[in-house]
Amino acid sequence: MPRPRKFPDKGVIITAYVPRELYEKVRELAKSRGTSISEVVNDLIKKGLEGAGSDIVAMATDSPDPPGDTFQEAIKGLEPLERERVLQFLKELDDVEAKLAKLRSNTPKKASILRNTLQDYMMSQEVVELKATVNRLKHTYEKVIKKTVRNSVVLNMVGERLLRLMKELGVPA
Amino acid sequence: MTRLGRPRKWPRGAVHMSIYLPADLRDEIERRALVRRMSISEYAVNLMLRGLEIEKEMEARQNAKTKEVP
Repeated sequence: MPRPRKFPDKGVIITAYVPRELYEKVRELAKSRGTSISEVVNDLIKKGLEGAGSDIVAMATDSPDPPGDTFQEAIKGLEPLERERVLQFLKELDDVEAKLAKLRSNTPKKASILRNTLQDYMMSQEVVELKATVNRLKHTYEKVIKKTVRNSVVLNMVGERLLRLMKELGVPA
Repeated sequence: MTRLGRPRKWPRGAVHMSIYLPADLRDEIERRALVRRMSISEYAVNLMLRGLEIEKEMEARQNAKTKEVP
C-alpha cells in the first residue's frame, strides 16, 4: 500500500532563489529536527505569514538597545529581504575597509630596492582589485540598494561609507 | 576587472531551492507577493527570513523565562 499524500488537498512545487546562508541555516535546522528541508521551509513560511500581520518591528525592537543607535534601529525596521541585502552589502564594505586598512599598514620598510619594487607592484595590484570591488559595490548600491531600501537613515549611512571608500581609492562618483 | 551586466542578486552566493508546499499556501504567497510587486521567490525568501526571526525571538523569550524560574 503506498504512503498517504503529504498534502491531501494538493501539493505544488515552487522554486525560490535563496541566499546560500539562508539555505545552510534551513538545512541545519532540518538536520537537527530530523525532518526534510521542505517541511522546515513550510514551517518557516507559515510562521512568516502569521508574523506578517503582527508588528514585526515592535517584536524585533523588544530587546533593549543602546540609546541613540539609530542605524541599528533603522536596520531592524527594514523588511527581512531588504535587511538581508543591506547586511550583505555592509559585510562587503567591511571586507574592503579591512583590506584597505591592511594595505595602509603595509608601508614599505627599509629594505633592498628590488624588494621595495616587488612590494609596490603587489600593492598596486591589490589597489586595482579593491577599486574594481568598490566600483561593483557602487553599481549594486545604485541598482539594488537604492531601489529596494526606502529607509533614508540606512541609505545615508551605507552611502556615506561607500563614498568614503570611493574617495580614498579614487573611484569616480 | 569590472563586472559587466546587472549585479548579482545575492553577491555572496545563492542556490535554487525547490520547495513542496500545499497549494493553498502557495496561492496565499502568490497573492501577497503580487500586492507587494515582488516575485513569488523573493517573497518566499522574505517569509523564510521572517520565520527564522520569529523562531529566534521565541527561543530568546523561552530562554529568558527559564532563567527567571529559580
